[in-house]
Amino acid sequence: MRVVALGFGGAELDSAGRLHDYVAGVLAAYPPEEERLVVLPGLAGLYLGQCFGWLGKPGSTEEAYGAYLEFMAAQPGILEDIFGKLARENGCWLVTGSFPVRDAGNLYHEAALISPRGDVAGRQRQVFLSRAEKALGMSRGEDLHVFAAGSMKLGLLLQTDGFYPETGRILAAKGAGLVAHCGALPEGDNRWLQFSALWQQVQQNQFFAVESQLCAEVGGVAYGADCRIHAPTEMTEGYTGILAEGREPVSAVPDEKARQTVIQGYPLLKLLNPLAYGSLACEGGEGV
Amino acid sequence: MTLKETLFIRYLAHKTRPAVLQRHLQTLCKGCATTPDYNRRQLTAAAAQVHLDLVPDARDYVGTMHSFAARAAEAGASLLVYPENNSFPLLGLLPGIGEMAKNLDGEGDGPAVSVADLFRALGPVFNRVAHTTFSHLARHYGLWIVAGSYPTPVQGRVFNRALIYAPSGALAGTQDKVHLTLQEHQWAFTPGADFRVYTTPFGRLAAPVCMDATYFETFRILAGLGAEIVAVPIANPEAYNPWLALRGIWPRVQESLVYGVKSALVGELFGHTLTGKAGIFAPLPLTPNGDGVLAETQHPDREGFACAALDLEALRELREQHPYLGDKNPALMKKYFPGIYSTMGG
Repeated sequence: MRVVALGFGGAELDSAGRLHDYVAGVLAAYPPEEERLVVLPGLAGLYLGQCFGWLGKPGSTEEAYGAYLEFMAAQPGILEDIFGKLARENGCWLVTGSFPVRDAGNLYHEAALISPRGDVAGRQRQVFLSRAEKALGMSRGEDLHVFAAGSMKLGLLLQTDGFYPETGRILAAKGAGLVAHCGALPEGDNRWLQFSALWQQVQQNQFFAVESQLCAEVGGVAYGADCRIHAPTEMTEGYTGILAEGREPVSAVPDEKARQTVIQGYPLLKLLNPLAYGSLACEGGEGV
Repeated sequence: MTLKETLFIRYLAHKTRPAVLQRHLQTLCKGCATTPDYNRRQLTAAAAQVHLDLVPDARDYVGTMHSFAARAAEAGASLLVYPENNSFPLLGLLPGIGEMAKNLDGEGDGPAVSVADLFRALGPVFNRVAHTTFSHLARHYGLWIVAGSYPTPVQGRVFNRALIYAPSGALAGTQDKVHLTLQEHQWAFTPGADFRVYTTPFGRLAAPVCMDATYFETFRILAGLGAEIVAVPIANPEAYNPWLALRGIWPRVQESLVYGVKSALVGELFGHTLTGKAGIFAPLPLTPNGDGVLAETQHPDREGFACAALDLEALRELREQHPYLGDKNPALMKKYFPGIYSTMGG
């Protein structure tokens, strides 16, 4: 499967048509017969809503969330329809990036996995929150799922989830071979911050990961970090653990057979020692 | 144990008797003993990078260990960490160790000797050398010392055990390596059963061993137990590559918000090349270059020394204010932990 990370950097996306052209333009560079997964970044819903003129001109993050939720209350499902059409017309699996959803009075970040037929194949909510997200009154999801996406078993992580190694361990235990991360980091020198997140999750779980980082402004905040495709160090040039990186588009075809060979030679998860974790398995875990 | 083996162990014990080593230590440790003075805002931690040279005389070993303690004291350090398998240089006390190495686990022509058997016999002698040495150095220099780890026999089983000495000279704590490598499993070592954190006058200290730092669980549990400084002795049997090396203590320090002190054993033994860089690591916002590294030795294959000042109060403040870390999701954790491990064959 070819995986492609997009961050919206520099793209003119003032309509659904332009979004389609943008994705189609990127995918045109790759062989059409390939199975493909496109991953959009964190805050994709807010950013696209802003680009499409749905949010007016939000002057702050809070205003952007408020305007988005108000618009979606009036036109529920509009963005999902756009994503469905995008996946169908491009014949790809699509991770939508994150968008805010209200459910029973709670506010979540959610991402959807769309099949090449345009159906919603799965949904994932963000499970750990940043300080800023807590200040916005957001809530946490309570599950992590692994979905069948073509030939891959796929897990989704949203934004802050990447910094919490528990998330990767759960997805690895559930059999994920590929994790898609929809990220949004305020612009700055994020190189080492990124290594402390998805890169380390990949190294201690030996799955692949595609990290899509938003490169655009939302609600007056500029976001910017490299998109990356990660693999266990042993199967990458120079042992960097990175198959591809840059602002966008970033693409690679992870080699599942090579990953299995790495795991056979160094079976990290078999060398865990759960007996020593006892009642302190993890903070908040059973018996704590 | 045969009579010949018993006599040999007694001979080794005599050659390494505490009186001989203490006399040598007294010669080395000149001047007044140091009185510790701890400042949580500026606490110097040091890490030794020890080159594995087999010693024909235990006094040579004492001399090497002393040189690091003297250097740490000169730098004003309160904590000094030595590497994993820090008794390996003492294998040089065995006549014909080179030949014996070929027969470890049946690889040579002679009778097979398992590594566990080797340390079952020699561990008590080597650990007594360690106790004599580090107890004295800790007392004289007023240091907290993580003496590195020692294959340690306990009721027939062999643990890879880290030893912690207080400035009183007392053995203040131990930590058995919990996550064994494939090689240590082959060597028939026994994994540790728990993680421990020790209280010092400057903060809470832990000392998991090498492979333990590969897994986030180690540091999560230790941080949950209050650890602020996590010392990790390593002896890594692979060619050095900075990306491979980055998979251990560095990410653990970032995700669990602790200081990390890594000490490395480097050199050649039994056909294995050990590499690594000793270093002091901190969460990204507490490092001047924003890269999570406060100090690191330059070369991964020769003797070295790293030291840096830690600010334990800044660490406490960071934990309270970190923009991304510190969130809790008890519902998620209760749902998945520890049950997920049952699917992993650990």
